[in-house]
Parts: sequence; C-alpha cells; structure tokens
Amino acid sequence: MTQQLNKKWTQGMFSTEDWWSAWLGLFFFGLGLLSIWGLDIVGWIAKPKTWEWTNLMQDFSWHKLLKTSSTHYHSLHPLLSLFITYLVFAFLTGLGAYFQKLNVRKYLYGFTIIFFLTWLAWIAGHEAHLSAINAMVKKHNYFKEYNLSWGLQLGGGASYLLALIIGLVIGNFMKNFASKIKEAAKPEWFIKTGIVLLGIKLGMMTMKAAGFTYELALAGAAAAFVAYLLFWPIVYYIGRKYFKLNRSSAAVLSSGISICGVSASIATAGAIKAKPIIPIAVSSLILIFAMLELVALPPALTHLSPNEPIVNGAAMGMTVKTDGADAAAGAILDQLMISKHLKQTGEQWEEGWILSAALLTKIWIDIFIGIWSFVLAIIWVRNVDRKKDQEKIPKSEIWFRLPKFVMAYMLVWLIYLAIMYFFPEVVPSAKFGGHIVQGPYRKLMFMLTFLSIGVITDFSKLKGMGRLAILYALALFAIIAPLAYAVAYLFHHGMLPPVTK
Amino acid sequence: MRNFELALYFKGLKWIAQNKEVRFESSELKELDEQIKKYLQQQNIKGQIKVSYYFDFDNFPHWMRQYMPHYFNKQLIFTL
Repeated sequence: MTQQLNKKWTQGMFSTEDWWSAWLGLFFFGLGLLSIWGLDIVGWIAKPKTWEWTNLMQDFSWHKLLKTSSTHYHSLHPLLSLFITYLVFAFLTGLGAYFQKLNVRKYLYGFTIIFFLTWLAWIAGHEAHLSAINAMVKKHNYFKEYNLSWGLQLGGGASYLLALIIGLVIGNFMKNFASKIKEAAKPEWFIKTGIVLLGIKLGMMTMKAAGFTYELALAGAAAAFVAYLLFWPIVYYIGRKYFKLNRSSAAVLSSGISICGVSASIATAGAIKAKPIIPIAVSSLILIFAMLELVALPPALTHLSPNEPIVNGAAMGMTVKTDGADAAAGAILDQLMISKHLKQTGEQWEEGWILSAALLTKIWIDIFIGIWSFVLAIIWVRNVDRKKDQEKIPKSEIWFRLPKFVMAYMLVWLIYLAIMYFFPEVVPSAKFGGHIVQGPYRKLMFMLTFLSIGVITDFSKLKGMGRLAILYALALFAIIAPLAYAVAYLFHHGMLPPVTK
Repeated sequence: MRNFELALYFKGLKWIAQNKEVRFESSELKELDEQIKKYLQQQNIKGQIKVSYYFDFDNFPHWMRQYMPHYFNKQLIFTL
C-alpha cells in the first residue's frame, strides 16, 4: 500500500496538483518574462480567429480559423502551431501526471481527446453568428464585416459554453467514454494553473489602474471575511436545528456550502477529525451544485444586475463553490456582461476585471480556510472532544492547507508590481510576453477546465442524497446567493471596469 | 521527549493507526489514543511522550486530491 503522509513542509511539492499548478504557471510566466531581453519563446501558441461559416465554405483555409499568437511566428502554418501547442502542453502536463503518480498512458490518451475537443469548441465558439458583437471591438465590427442578419452576440462566452456542453454530454450521456478519459479531466489543476497566469493580468491591471486594483483586492478580502462570519453559523444552525444533522455533518456541510466547497469540506472534516466518508459524500454534492451555479448564475446576474459588473463578480466568488467552477463562472460572466454592455452602449469594458473580482474574493476565502480550520480544530479539541490537556494541533496544519497556487498567483502579481515600480523602462517589453501568456495560454487552461468539469459532473449522483441535498439547495439559493450579493454590494457598489479605448 | 509516529487511515468502519512494529484499530479515535497509551505503558516507557499521527491521504479517492491534499495530523503529548 502506498502512503501519502504530510510530515515535512516540503511534502507534496512534486506530487500534488496544487503544487504542479504553481510550477506550471510560474514556468509559463518565466518564459513570457524573457521578452524583457527581446526573446519571444511563447508566441508560437495557436489562438482562434473569428470566422463565418458561409465565408469559410466558399474558400476554406485554416488561416481563417487559427493563427499564431505573435507576429514573430506568422510563418508557421496554423495547424503546425496547433500541433506544437498540443505537444508542449501534453509533455508538460504529462510530466506533472508522472510525478503525481497518475497512469501516464491513460492520462495522455485522455488529455489528447480533451485537448482536441477543447479546440473544437474553442474554434466553433468563434463562429461569427455565435460570438460577433455588433460594435467596434479592437478596430473590428465582425457583425458588420460578415454582413450578418442575426447573431447570439455572446463574445468569448460562446466557446466557454460550448466546451461546457460537450463536457456535460460526455459526463452524463457517454459514461463509458467519460471513464476512459477521466484520468486527464483535472479541472482544479487546469484552473489553478490558469489562475496563476491570471496574476500577470492583475499585474498589468495594476500598471494601468493601481488604485482601483488595490481597492478591488482589499474590498474582496473584506467581503470574503464578512461572508465567512455570516454564512457558516447560519448554515450550521439550520443543519442542526431543522435538519437534525450531527455536529460533524453539520460542520462539514456548512463549510462546503458556505465557504469554498470541496477543499473547505475536506479541511473542516480534517479539523474536527470526522470520518472521511462525510467529506467524500458532501464533496459529490458540492460538485453537482457547483455545476448548477456555474450554469445558472452568470446569465441570471447579467440579466438582473447589468450595471454592477464588479458587484456581480464578487458575489459570484462568494457563491460558486470550488475554484474551477468559480473561475469558469467568472469567465462566462465577464464575457456576458461585457457583450451586453457593448451591445447596449457601444462602450467596451476591459476584459478580465469582472473575472478578477470573482477570483479575488475566492482567493481570500482559499487563504482563510487554512486559518479557519486551525481555529476550528482548537475549538473542537477544547469544547467538543474536551482533550485540551493532551491533544495538540500542529501549526504546520495551516501550511499544509494553504493553497500553493495562490502563493504563485501572488508572487506573479508582486513581480509585476516590482517591475512597475523599480524598472519602469522595461514595462513595455515585459507586457509583450505577459500579454501572450495571460491571453492564449491562460485561456487554453480555462477552456480545458470547462470541458473537464463537464466530464466529471454526473448529475445522477444526486439520487439518494436526501436531506443533505435539500439543505444544500435551500441554503445556497435562499441564503448564500442573496447574502453574497448583499455583501458584495456593500463593498463593491459603484466600482466599474475601465473602458477599452 | 520521545516521539512515537504512526500513519493513520480509515477502513470500513475503523480508524487504523500503524507503523512498522505495531497496529491499532478502533471505531473511535479516542479509543485509539487509549490503546496507544496502554501499549506504551506495557513497553515500560517512562517520561514525556509525543505521539504523532499522520493521516494517509491515499485513503481518499484520487479525484479529491486536486481540491485539498491534506486531511489532518495530530499530536498527543502525555507523561508516563
């Protein structure tokens, strides 16, 4: 029997997804930073172009669908660029899979299928009838250029939704196939890597609007803290009083519903030393509800609160559980709100701010979970188990529960801040590589997440969950979602993303 | 202070703590603590003892590791 014991602080550095998302993100970030010295070794990555199907049918060319990310590599055929992209990502994530002791052959098989299905969704989502918005975007109005009579005008959200739909169809209607590719369906790993790369975006945003970015980060921290203090006791009380759950189940479920989903439920169960079956059962429930939140909340918030983009983003971060589903929901919300505002006003909000608002609240929550679990463990030992004389909670528990990808995200942000303050003359060249890494690289990780999260979501697991599922649904939609919006409104009201010129 | 280390996992309905020399089983963690104390007494160990439990995360389904790769470690400190 293999063992995974966390004894030393270095444990898991090469064997957990969390650490690997930090390594991969920092590696890509480092490659992008070489542009400071005039080296472009990231621009070969493929990215999709907006296309229109009748135009493509008249004169088919891969050049209409794909291109390389920088002009230095424009001589590469787009298919070769896509193939290199596949090789690099398969190799690097395969290396991670090897160290994480996954079955590498199965992983590569699954990754190949997930990768190409992801690209299929990404390219299809850029078809003009789905994505083009009837307004000027980066000096183009594709709606008019392609002379469209109709269009869904979803912007980049179309690709995300398509990837999610493909994943959900596989996960729920092609279960044998899903089980064959599941080894590579790692939404948390992919999204955490994407979030590390988003640290570049936050750095660039700080270069552009430092005051607003700091305000966003601080407001996110305050909102997350207030939300913690409100959500947990309310759900715990309802679970105990009205659903007659025992202390352990009520505590684990409260963390899962009200804090950050699966990671919170495992951390809380560990803190109170519950039998592992409790967080395992709760986690299945969380994943299914996270998918429902991901599908329902972005369009609902876009429709109900179109003039409060940052409030909506922050509320999303406090409502949607799991980092993967939250980032995915934030990315969809970002695109839907930008598209709607652009259609209505002709003014384009800058991409990434709404997503960052969603992520910043979630990241603070992720950081707090280690501390909260430590405090809860002490309370439990003293007041529930009553063993304060003998049992000690090692302080290393905080470290083991601290998400390492968040440290990488913060590090990336701080390096950009350092460049901005100490080496302002290299900012333009740093931005060159940074734009590519936080653009196509980060978006690819997000797209892989959308497809993977669909593959691992099996709605049939809701059967037999009984009162836990009812409590979850009630707490989420009647308590957490409205309260999260109220808290987000309190701290973020009136904040608007900068406008793209 | 002497240190006594054990890997901890949960199987069926029981907590199991073991190292290369010894294995303890119980449905409750509290009982496990008592069993270990009794064992150490029988070994004629004297003075302050630190018992460190390290939960084996391989006990969790592999898919859950991406969310949180740590369950808990705990220490008992007592004098025999």
